[in-house]
Amino acid sequence: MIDLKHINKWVNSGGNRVFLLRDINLNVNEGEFISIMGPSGSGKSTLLNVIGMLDEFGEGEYNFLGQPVHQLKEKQRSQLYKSHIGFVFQAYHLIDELTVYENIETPLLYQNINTSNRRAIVADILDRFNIVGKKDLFPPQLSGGQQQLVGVARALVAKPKLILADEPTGNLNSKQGEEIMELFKQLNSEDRVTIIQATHSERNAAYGSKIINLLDGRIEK
Amino acid sequence: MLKNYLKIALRNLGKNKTFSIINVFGLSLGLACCLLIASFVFSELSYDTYPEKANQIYRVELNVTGNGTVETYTNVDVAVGAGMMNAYPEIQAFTRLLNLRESFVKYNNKEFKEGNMAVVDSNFLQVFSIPFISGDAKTALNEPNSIVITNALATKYFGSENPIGKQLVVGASTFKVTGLIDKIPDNSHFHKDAFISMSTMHLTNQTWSNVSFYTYLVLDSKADPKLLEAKFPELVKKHVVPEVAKDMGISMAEAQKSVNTFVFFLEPLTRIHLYSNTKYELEANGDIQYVYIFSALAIFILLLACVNFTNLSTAASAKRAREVGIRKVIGSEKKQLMIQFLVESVLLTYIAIVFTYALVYALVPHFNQLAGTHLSFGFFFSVPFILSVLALGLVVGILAGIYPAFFLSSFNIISVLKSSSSTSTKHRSPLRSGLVIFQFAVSTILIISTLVVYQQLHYMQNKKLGYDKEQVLYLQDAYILGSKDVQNSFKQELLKDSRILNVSVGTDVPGNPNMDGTQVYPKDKAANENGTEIHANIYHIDYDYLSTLGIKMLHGRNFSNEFPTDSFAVIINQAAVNDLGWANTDPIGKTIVTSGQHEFKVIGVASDFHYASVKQKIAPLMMMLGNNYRTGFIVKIKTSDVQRLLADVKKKWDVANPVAPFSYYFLDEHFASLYAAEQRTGQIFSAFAIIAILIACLGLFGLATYITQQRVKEIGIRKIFGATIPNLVMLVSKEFLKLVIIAFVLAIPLAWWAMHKWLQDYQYRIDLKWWIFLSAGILVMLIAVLTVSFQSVKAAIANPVKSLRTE
Repeated sequence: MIDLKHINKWVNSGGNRVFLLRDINLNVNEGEFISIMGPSGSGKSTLLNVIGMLDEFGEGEYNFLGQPVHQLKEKQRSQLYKSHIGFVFQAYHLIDELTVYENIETPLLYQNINTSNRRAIVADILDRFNIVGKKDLFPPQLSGGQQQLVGVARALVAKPKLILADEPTGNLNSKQGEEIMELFKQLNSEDRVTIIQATHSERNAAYGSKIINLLDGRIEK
Repeated sequence: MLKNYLKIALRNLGKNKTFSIINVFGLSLGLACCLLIASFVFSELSYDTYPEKANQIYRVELNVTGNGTVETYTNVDVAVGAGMMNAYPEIQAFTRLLNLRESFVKYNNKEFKEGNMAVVDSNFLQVFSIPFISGDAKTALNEPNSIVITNALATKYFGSENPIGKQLVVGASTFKVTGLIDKIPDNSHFHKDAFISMSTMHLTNQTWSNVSFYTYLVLDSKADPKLLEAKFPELVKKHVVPEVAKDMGISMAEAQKSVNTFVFFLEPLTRIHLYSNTKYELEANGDIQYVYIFSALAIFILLLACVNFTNLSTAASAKRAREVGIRKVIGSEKKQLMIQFLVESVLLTYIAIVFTYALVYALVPHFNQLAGTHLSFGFFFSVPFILSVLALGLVVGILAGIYPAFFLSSFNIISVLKSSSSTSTKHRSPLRSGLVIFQFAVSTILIISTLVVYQQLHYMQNKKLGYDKEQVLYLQDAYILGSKDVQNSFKQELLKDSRILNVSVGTDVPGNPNMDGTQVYPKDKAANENGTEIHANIYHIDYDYLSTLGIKMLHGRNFSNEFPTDSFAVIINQAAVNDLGWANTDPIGKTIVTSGQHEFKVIGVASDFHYASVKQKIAPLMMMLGNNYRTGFIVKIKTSDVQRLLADVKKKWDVANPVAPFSYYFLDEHFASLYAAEQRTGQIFSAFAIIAILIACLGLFGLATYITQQRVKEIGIRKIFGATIPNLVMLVSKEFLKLVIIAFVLAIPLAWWAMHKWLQDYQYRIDLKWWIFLSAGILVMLIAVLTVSFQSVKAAIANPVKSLRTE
């Protein structure tokens, strides 16, 4: 599904190249649950962003579902991630001015799905996540765990093949974190959703089927 | 999707109340100005479009060149209309209007002075498509001594009685009311209350070379006015030349030479109001220049309000950045985000439009007073107007929102989402600075303009006029008292009062636009010599005129009883001396020949005085003894209790003639009324200047709010490290003041240029002094400082612990 070959990414700082990612080679198959570990600044988020096509890379090849991402134009790339990838963030990144229901509904709006279908899909997912009662609340009215639940629901609503989660439990207490991790595990095993998460925590990393350690932009063998 | 956009737009507006209020208020003000001005412009442009054949009607006008200057007459001689129609088949009809002097009109025991009556051809009201309420439009003005009146006049004299068939006494003649009209439309270049049939006049002279009849031609719809105009010189040759030759006693060849300067031309009816601006208009017209100036002002004020939206949206972008990032991640395209933000600005504009209508409702009466218009609130609800307003709202919303939409939707996802707290964007942005400079430059220009207009007004009102206008009482209608003996004995009665210093009884009083005038030439130079024939105004005065008004004699003597020949003598002003080419010789004793070959001997030269508006150059003037024309008493008084003196004067008037109506005015007040147009311009400019600065300050206030919010941490740290409150206030205010100063520097040349141009219309004008600019600058600066300091002081006195703790 994901095939990264010799990916390099750098920024120029005072005439020197500072590498953020160095010669990354990674192959991810559908249905895998991968945890990326590493200290702060090791390039976890950068790697996720590159995989999520939110960020560009300097050198290398990236094939996503057989498509050569490194050769696609910006518009095609965003079309690709729009239809196949869902994102979950440490800071949840919900839109404060929208209700829970509307937050979850928004990705569907951007995919031009008609009203009745939208309603059905959103209702379905609210039900599944057990947050029907919260659908008319605004994000600031929810606890962190609940907000992240909405975040995951929003990431899933468009039925992506891949979920990218950047420190999804970073702002949560351990109990809330565990719930989210259980949810991920369930999604992975029951729905066959591919998941790549970046995390600090050994415990959370252990939920994954494979752990990749990152240090100074390199994958540690 | 649109529903979703609208929903989030509304929630955002509700959440950022300061932002919304500033924008809605600013936009409503801007839009209200814009609508009011638009309606003013529409009404100006609609002048004289009401006759059915408005586009086929032309007024015959006359250019006469003399002494290098062209004098344009908007009226021509009695025979011109018929003469043209007989000569050229493309003229379907002609019609004429002759102004009637102020006259007393009487019905039973009701008597009023009417100054707004005209003598017209029988087809006049039909040509102008004025509908009749009663009476036969076709025949009403056929018979001599017929009169058609407006509803207002009918009510004044006849109350609720049917006016048709009633007898009105105008002056010494009796007229039968044969028709009733509602009124002349507001958007007409003339507004008469009564129309008397031309046949009353028994016109027998068929002359071509004088002026007094406003003559309108109706052309065939296919006729080309330019081609027609080109044929007019042959009429001049045929009719004007022999007439001038006979009048002036010169040969045909000489006459031909002297009338080469006679050019008849056609002014389209629909252009009269905005483009024709001569001394001889039926009413003061509008001016296309003001239409342009006002339109520009409306657009600028609207732009100022748009700028507020743009500036505040981009300044507050940090708040929206995260949302943009999230939306992009979950699949929004840039285009969709732009539409979302545009929906927001358009929605805000439509909310503003609702308030605009409320504002317009409140402002219409004031605006009417200010601009001298007759707008009604209903006008703003006409379907085409509302549709234009809705379209305007869309344009304004897009204009205001396009840059923020572009700016906000371009945020990079990664940089926006990376930090968990909202990113702070730079508080300096060149575009924003540029827009603030634009706002304040416009405001400064308006303030400078206001100051200049008022300066010029003050200058004109206080200019030394060459005569004394203070404490001069003018008693109108001397003739109504009775015979000349009654008038003279009344004058003697007045002089018995010690508070009355002098009394003159004559025809002409300074400031009155109606006066006689004629073509004249100096006898010592041949009439056909180029440039010696000039136009001179004529004042009919008496022996006491010059001393009553304090007009100085430069040479020669005043009129005197001791010289019986003074009835053929003339006193001229310095301008006449110059124009007659006598500047280097002694004019006393020379002879002036007027049209009709009358000769007058110059016995004195008076210094130039402003007998017309100060706007005009002082033109040549001939003053002669006019014992037969007596329209009023000029009374020089000296008292602190004017009311009591007035009462005493009235008593004497009533003794002289108990039934004659007593009416008066003071010369200085009348004089001030000549500058109503400047007064109005000044008021309009100051209103706009206030609105502009208000809108600009609203924006500045909003910007200062956001920027101090963004810098609150910096301010806290500085304070902990010892910055004083004034330091901090300066720190925050400095940046804005810099912009205001740049705006000021940019405004100076523009304002100078515009005002320099405006002042060119005035023969006597102020110099543009540096302090006008400086005081405008200081004023704007003060206002800006006050606006900004509210926020900066608030931030500076806040406890730094609070602002730092949140980080």
